[in-house]
Amino acid sequence: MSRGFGLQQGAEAVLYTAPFLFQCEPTFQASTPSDADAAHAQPIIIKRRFPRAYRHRTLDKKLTRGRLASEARNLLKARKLGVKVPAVLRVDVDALCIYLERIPGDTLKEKLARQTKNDKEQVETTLKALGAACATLHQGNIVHGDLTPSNVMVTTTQESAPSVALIDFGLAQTSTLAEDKAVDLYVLERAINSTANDGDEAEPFGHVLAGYESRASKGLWNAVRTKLDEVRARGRKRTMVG
Amino acid sequence: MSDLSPRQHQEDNSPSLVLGIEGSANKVGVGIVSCKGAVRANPRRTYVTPPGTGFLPRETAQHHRAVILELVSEALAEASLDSHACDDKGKRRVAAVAYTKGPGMGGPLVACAVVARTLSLLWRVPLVDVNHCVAHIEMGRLITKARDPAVLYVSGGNTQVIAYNNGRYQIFGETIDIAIGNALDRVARALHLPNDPAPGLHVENCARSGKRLLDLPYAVKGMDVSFSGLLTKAESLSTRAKRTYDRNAPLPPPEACLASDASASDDDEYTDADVCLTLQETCFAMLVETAERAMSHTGADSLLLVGGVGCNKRLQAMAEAMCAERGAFCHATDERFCIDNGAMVAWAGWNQYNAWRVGASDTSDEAAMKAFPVSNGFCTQRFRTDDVYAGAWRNLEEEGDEPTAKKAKS
Ligand SMILES: Nc1ncnc2c1ncn2[C@@H]1O[C@H](COP(=O)(O)OP(=O)(O)O)[C@@H](O)[C@H]1O
Ligand SMILES: [Mg+2]
Repeated sequence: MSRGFGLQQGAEAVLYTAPFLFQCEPTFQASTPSDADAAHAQPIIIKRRFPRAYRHRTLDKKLTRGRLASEARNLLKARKLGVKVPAVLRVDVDALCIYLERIPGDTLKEKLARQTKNDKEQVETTLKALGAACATLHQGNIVHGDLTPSNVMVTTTQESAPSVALIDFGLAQTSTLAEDKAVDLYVLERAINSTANDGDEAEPFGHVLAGYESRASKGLWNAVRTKLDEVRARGRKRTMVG
Repeated sequence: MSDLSPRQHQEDNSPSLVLGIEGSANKVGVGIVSCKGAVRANPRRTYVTPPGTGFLPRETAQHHRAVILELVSEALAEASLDSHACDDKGKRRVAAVAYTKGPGMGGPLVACAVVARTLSLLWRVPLVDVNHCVAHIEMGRLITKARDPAVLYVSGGNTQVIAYNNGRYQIFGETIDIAIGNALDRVARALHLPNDPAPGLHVENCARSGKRLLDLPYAVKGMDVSFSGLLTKAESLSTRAKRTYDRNAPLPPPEACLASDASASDDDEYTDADVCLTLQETCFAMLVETAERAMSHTGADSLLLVGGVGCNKRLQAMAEAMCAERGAFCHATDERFCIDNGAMVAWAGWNQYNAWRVGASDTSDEAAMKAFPVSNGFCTQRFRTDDVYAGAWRNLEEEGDEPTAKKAKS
């Protein structure tokens, strides 16, 4: 990745990286910052939402603006709760851009895809930390809305255990309902268990739950665990008849 | 669709047709399909109720019972077979009878299963039980030649985002309450749109005259969607909507309703067309968004639309736009195969039967009857798409080049 900017295209946003000190706008200038500058530069992420052509314009505007606002709002709330999330540096409502602190490391999706037998312990710790982060979020009545492994950043260092940060809060909401929290976990469960390779442990999601239980209050844990069973069974119970 | 020529040469003399019966909801159909996937016959009838009403299980079953024998005769005649399933040389051409085991409405399912069991006994051929959803997917794959697509399965009774994984059609996301087709039908009812030929078609046509987007909740929950809250709101909006729909009026071009930026609050005056427009735009955006997520999760390079709502042109356009943006391909079929039909059950039945033949050491008629006994011919209203081991036949495809290249030993 070049130092000036990098590019990541998601479903409804383009992401640029930029060195914080120089240029906050996503320009495509070829000039690279000098090394001295780079040493002070704290790289940031600029996430720019773009219109989706398949949606009706009016609906698209409503959704895009709504998601930008809820991303900013819920990142702040999550941070206050003590969940590791990128800091919000700036929100540009007209350009539909949010400027974020850049979390070093890889997404959990990449980590899981690349894991080998030797990483088993580290993956376990990571999943537990992820569970704990979710519990903190839920304890504060925020649901993430899109808890998939590509929305979890994992930072590993030599010295300490891997740390987990949550990103992509566009679908996040305030909710006190155990149901909504259970759905959060259910999404994560399906995504994580389906990325497991052959020969891996059958249910890596178990570690997430263990981490969740260790952090959540008794009340939250009991309510969410019961609801999670309900949500899992929901599909199976539904008579598929109009 | 081009090579589905109704007549295709038999290349060997073993019976190579399957007759399939579908009737899990308000359509009943009998299809005859060859082992190569050529559709020889596919007649269908729909139970249509007066505007403002929906179809109930009992009446629907009565309807199916009244027309099904006629449909069987029609299908046989169209495929140039007699009532013994023999051709003009007196040779039995039908290798198996397939029927929909579920999911669906109990009464209508049973009405069809009875006939399937009877034919199986009469002709002494295996009785293959088929999952309705799997049949939709396999028919869609056959028609469009999509090898390994993500699937958006949208109908009156089902709403699922599916991807093939580990031998199963795994459900990535689905509705947590009512099905999309059901939501559309119920709004059609609230607006008193006609049910003939299908309420959803009138919602689609009515929406073309829409001018403004109203406010409906957008409910994507993780990978799942929810339509019940949105439906309640749409039904209540319907009561105050000005009725403008005329089924005989010429349709405005499809872009017309998308051109305007106007939105309206609930207090303004609005029409049935605005309600239909809003309903479609909101529901379909939810579906396309979840389909896209499944595609990015599985890395699928194509999307297959199946089920009755899959022939909605607006949904197709939206899915195509989404796919185009990510460099993927969108496959859709028309109402002959999107909407419930007998051929899809026959084709899924053939795949199941053929997978058995390829794997079995003894493929004699007796062994076949034992493997697919009439006594197994019951129905179930709950039958999950991922309950079926589709690897049985999909694994055969992976070895050969064509979907049915692998021949049985017999
Ligand atoms: N703050 C961040 N630090 C580091 N990487 C990030 C950050 N935000 C996003 N990314 C990277 O960009 C990808 C897409 O960002 P995300 O916010 O999830 O957008 P989308 O809505 O398109 O999924 C993430 O999966 C991650 O790889
Ligand atoms: Mg993301």
